[in-house]
Amino acid sequence: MMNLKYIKISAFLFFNLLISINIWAIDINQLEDSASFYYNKADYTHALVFYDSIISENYSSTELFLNTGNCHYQLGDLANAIFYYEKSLKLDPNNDNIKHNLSIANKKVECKTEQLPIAFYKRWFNSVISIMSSDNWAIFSIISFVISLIFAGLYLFSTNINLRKTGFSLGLITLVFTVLSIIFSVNLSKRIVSNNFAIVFEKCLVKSSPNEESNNLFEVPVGLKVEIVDSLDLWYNISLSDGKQGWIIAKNIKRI
Amino acid sequence: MRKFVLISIVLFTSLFCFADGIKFTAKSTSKAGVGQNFQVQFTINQKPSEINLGNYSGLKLINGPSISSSQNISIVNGNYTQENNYTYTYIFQASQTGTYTIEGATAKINNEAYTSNSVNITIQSEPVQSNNRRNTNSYDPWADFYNMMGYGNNNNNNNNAQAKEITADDLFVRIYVDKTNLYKGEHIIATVKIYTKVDLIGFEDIKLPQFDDFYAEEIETPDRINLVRENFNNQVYNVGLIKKYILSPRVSGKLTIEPCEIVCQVRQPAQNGNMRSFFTYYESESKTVKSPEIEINVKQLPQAPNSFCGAVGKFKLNLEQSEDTVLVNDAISIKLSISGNGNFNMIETPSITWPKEFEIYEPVAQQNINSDASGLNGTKTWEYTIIPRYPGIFDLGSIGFTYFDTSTKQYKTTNTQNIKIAVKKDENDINFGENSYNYSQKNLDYISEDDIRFINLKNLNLRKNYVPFINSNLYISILLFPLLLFIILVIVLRKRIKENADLVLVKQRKAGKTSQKRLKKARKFMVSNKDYEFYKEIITALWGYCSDKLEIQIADLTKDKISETLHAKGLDTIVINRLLEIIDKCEYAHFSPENEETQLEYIYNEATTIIETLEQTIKYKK
Repeated sequence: MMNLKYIKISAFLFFNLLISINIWAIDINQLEDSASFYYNKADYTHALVFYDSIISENYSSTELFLNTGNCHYQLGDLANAIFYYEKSLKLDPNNDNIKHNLSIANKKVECKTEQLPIAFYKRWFNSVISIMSSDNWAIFSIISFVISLIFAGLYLFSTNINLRKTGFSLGLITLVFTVLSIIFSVNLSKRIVSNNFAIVFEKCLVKSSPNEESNNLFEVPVGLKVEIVDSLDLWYNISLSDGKQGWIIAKNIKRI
Repeated sequence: MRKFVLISIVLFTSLFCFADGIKFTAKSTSKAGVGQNFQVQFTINQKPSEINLGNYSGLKLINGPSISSSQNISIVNGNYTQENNYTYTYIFQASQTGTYTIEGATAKINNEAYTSNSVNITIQSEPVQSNNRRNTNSYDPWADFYNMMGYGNNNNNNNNAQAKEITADDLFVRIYVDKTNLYKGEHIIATVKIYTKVDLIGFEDIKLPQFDDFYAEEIETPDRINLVRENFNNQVYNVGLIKKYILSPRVSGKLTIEPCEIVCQVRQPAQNGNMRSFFTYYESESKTVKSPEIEINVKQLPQAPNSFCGAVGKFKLNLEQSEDTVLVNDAISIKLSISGNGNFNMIETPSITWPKEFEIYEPVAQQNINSDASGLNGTKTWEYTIIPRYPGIFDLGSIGFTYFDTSTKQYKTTNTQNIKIAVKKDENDINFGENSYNYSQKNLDYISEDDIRFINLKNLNLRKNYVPFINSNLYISILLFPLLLFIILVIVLRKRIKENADLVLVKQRKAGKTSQKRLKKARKFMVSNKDYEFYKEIITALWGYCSDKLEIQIADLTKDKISETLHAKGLDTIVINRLLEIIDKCEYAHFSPENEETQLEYIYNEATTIIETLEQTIKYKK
């Protein structure tokens, strides 16, 4: 008797779960479709409502953020546009469309900070790392790892000296690739997870220390990308791309 | 009786004159204002060794004594008279009204002291009008006499009335303007001139007009005023140029140029009937002249275009650019100059719109403007330093300058050439960062702006609660699975791995050593005369070496195969032949036991050297 009741309850729960998953799935698809519909009609205000609700459901994707950024850009919200472009670019660092849109949005930022010269090896590292997204690098690393194992097997199990030689060298090379791609992937994923960068949402003055009374150092315009170095209570210690540093009230910026 | 009086006066004076020969008199004006300077002159007819002023309490000595001397020689009826006069002039000032007495000064001549008469001065609150004041500039030898006789200077005031009146025709000042009807922004040349028929000595005070409604610029005129003869209203005047101005009206409408007031000093012969007219006697007189007011009609300019900033005249606009192709962060200097003739003071820094891709510094303004009779001529230059911060090809448009052309009475706009700047990312950049910008000075915004790409990505590839793949457990398990498989495989087949390693690599590596061992063994057999074993050992050494070294399976081992592989390895044919020969010999000897000892020795040596050479060459070839 007890058993039956238990089964009934669990079955009911399971059924409920199924329905809820189903409803939720439909819901997301509908949101996606509506957003797309309004986007095509150039009704960005409405499209944004749907995109925002998708984002609030903890969904993410390059395309979602790019479309959201476009909506904000079209509505004249520069800070949000840049914010979403940056978010999108983080997921896919080599996407031409995002890079293009971001560069145009950045042109509208009132002040331009001068980029400090980056050491050549960092530049190279960055250009290589942004060939693929973190996930793609991860997949690449798996493939390359499997290949390197095959080569290792060739080296170990083959009796032919030539095969053994090629197996050894190629196995070593693919292993290096594997290690590198894992490094890249981890590096990119860190960027996604850590969100050390933020966009200025409100034009404000940057202070020399984390309190209102301290000296004003410089002003940051809306849409500027800053790096968060440190935080204290409601203040962030930010660093600009030209090396300037200062404290800013947390509510004025939004982490990417 | 009258005669007697006259004679007695003459006698008395002559007696007085020649009594001791020293005359020491003081004279001064009778009236002066508070704070006004006045002179007191002490005259003595012999040079004193010392002169001391008497008490002059209440007055302030400003200057003095200034000493002047004169000599007068006269011969009347054979009487030779020589008169020397030394005049000591002191300048006093009084700070309060009242009557003051300057007591007689004491002069010392040949250790004898002489005292002059004292003078009285009345100080009044108002300064004594310069018009009324008369100074006797030329020396009047009789003045001293009159003073002594008690006439003093009182007569001087009466003389004034009898002086010839200087009329407005004789002396006047005029401001001459080249036009009275003009457009706002045009300039007029105003010349202040003094016209005189009388003997003009100098000016005491020149009060020039203020030109409140004008921008006034003075044209350089000589400091010394030279009088030039000029015809005016059919009369000849001596004309002196006082000042010359370039005036540009500030406002439009009816403007007046205020009068110019000049206090002139005029020298006139004294005209009175008294005894002094016997002598050439001039007196200087102050005369104030005032120019008439001038009315100027300034017309408003016709409806101006927006770009008009007030420049009127004739101008030329020029633009110079230091470079047109630069690297990012290299400074460019852009020089904009306006040259010509007109009201330069109205020309302000032209507003140039710079795109935000550039950093702009405050322009350095320079002007080189000369004022002369044709107005203001020259050049105004602004030098902009701009630093491009972003690569691209920039067309900043042209800079326009609008002015009112006075010759055509129309507005005219001149434009510079377009400012074009190509900015490279670095030395090798030939695409200029693939950016192209078109700006126009007229339109402050972009003409063509790159727009964002509005791609509607329908498939959003949504992922809920996204975690990077690399951080997921799935990734690690996917990565570990083939590794695990591999490890299992390795464990299972570890024997084969070992064999493989022995079979090929180790054998090859150890081929030399194994053959050496065999040869050593063969040598033992040779020593103990075991021919059969010796040959067998040599043959195995050679075959084995070839098999190991050349990676040929024992089954495939033939002489042909060996020579072929060795050829392929690029070995000398002689060496190969020697190897084959020794193998032949050994095989032959192996099966036919009649052998000599020398042959054993020979074969052993030959085999050793061949293996050594092979070992070296093959290793080397590798």
